[in-house]
Amino acid sequence: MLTGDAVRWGAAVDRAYDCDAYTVDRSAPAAVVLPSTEQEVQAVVRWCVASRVPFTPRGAGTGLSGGAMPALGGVVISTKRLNRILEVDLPNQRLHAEAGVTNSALSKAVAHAGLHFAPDPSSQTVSTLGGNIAENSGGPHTLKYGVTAPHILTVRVVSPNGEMQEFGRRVVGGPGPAWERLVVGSEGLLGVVVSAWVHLTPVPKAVQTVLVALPTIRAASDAVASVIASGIVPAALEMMDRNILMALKVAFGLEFPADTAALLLLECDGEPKQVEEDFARMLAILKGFAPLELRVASDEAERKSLWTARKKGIGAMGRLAPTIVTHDGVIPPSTLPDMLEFVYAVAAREGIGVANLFHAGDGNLHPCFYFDDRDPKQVESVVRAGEEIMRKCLELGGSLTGEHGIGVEKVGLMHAMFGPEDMALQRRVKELFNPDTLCNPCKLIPDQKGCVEHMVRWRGVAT
Amino acid sequence: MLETLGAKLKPGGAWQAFGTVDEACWDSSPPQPVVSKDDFIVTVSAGMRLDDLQAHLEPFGLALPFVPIVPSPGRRLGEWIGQNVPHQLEGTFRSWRDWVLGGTMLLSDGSVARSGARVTKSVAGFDAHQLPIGTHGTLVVPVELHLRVVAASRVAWPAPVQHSGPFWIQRVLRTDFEAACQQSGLLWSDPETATCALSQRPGFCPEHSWWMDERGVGPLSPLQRETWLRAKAQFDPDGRLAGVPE
Repeated sequence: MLTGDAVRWGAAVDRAYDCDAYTVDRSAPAAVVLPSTEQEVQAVVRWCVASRVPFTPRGAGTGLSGGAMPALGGVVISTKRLNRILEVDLPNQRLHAEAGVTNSALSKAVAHAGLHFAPDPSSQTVSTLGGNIAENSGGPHTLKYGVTAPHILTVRVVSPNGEMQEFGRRVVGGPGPAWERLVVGSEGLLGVVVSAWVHLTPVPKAVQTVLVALPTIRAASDAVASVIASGIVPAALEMMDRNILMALKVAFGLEFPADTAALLLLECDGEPKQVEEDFARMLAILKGFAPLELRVASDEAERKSLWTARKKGIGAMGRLAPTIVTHDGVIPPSTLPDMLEFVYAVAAREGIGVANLFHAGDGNLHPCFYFDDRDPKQVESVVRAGEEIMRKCLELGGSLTGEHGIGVEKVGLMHAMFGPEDMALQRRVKELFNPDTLCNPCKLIPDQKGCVEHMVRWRGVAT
Repeated sequence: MLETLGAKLKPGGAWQAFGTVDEACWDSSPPQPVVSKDDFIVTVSAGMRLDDLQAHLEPFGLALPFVPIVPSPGRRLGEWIGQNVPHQLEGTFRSWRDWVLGGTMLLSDGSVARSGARVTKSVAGFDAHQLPIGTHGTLVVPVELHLRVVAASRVAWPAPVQHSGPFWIQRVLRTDFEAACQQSGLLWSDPETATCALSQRPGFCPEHSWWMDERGVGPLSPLQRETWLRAKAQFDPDGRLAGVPE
């Protein structure tokens, strides 16, 4: 089946694969396999099914909810070696790639033709197409272009029982059910994605970007709500708070006006005339909030410079504490002003640091807690604060997650968002594709057989 | 609860989701939509007529950017969703699969379940609210929908195509679009989505293309159909809902 360096185990492997980018919960695999072909993936899945061994698909391991953690041990199936772009069809604006191709490589492959793959998670230089599909990844430009799902034409998967299946059509839409729309965002529970046809989007003809420094969080969040309520659909509307700016200054020497409480990064793109109109309206709205500075990009180089703060924000957080955990919740944008005040109040009460860098335009919060995970009390505080914030999101009519997924991180909170009949429907969807318990167990659906007793163990090894 | 959501059980105990307007299961006077103007979301009964929803959204400066290729007055949202036929603004605004953010569904065992959320971005759980889209009421019955809407000022409303009688909708690759438009009986075409409407069944069917009739019924791949039948057995084991189209 697989031999040589395609099968790995041992202490180093345990440490490298016992979690993804959600590091609070950990569980080591028995082995990691790195198949290079879809046939090898299929052979591994079939072996696991025949041997009753759990298996967990994994892309680049950049997931933020523990979706790629091998919760019950078993085999981790890494798709990193499924890294070929199989076909590019420029006239029809589509591309066929294997699951392990990175998000940014997709766009690079077609940039010369003025096309790109629109979903742009912050992890895009390393996160993979398969991982993006599993998590239905978003990103800063999701506000206008949507998350991953509408950009996927077909998904080819090895089903949880080892069958090779391809859902969807190579032309958008069509009669009947779209099973691929259930596979996208299913967090690796409905099969192992091995390749996909994706829809490509033309690079916009015109782009206008502005970075705005505001004196209070309230002013910044009110400005976001006003822009969205105006009916303008910016390509991106991102927000960064004072703590992010502090980290950026320490890590990269980036300077912002004194007394800045929050930065907003806004971008309009599309047809030149529409962009010009929308951008002018947007600037007029922003000026009404007495900005400390309003920096408009005059060319592409300056645009990239304005994006630097946003792109480097999470990386800079490493300067503030040994560990960061980025939460992910969604609220209606109109409730943003009150919600942010709540986030700061919870963090203050728990005695932990929090910074906010998030997709403000679609209400997708990312409270980023910084702490030391060697201290169990701090870990408990972070978990407790995260849960409280998620419950507030639900109270405001929002969601537990906008782009990171449920994974193991929020599996216990699913009951807070969904009632028993809702969860029964979720279980039926799982059973339609994955009636067994081997494919990525313990994720998304709470109280799965054999999982509850392990939850303590995952948390217990967070050292 | 179902009554307040606008759903009714048909005499005889079967949930009849689709058919003619007279046979539809939804109450003819569903609850008023709940509009969140600043968030561009409306929560609405699936039994509401499309025209009524547009009229309700108008004072808020909002619209559902949906223009049928051929007008079909009086049709309810649940029917449009079940058939999931392309529309004239799809190239700019996409369609139901991206507009239905979540909602409440009636299952064949009488239970009522929610999926998704009332926000534009949520990945909490499987997207079970995709189940009613394009499945003709065979798996679940949509009862209440959270829909993403847009500022009405952004919509340029095209004229509907005047046509009576059956028609077919075909989508092809862009490279096949010109050839598709050469077919006889062309009623409408959209280069943006490489879609055309025809007064007769398409005779030109390249490998990567699809067609459907005006009810949203067309050829399926063996896997798509086989999975639909398995889903039917899973979600409606007693056959109380509509049957999977042949």
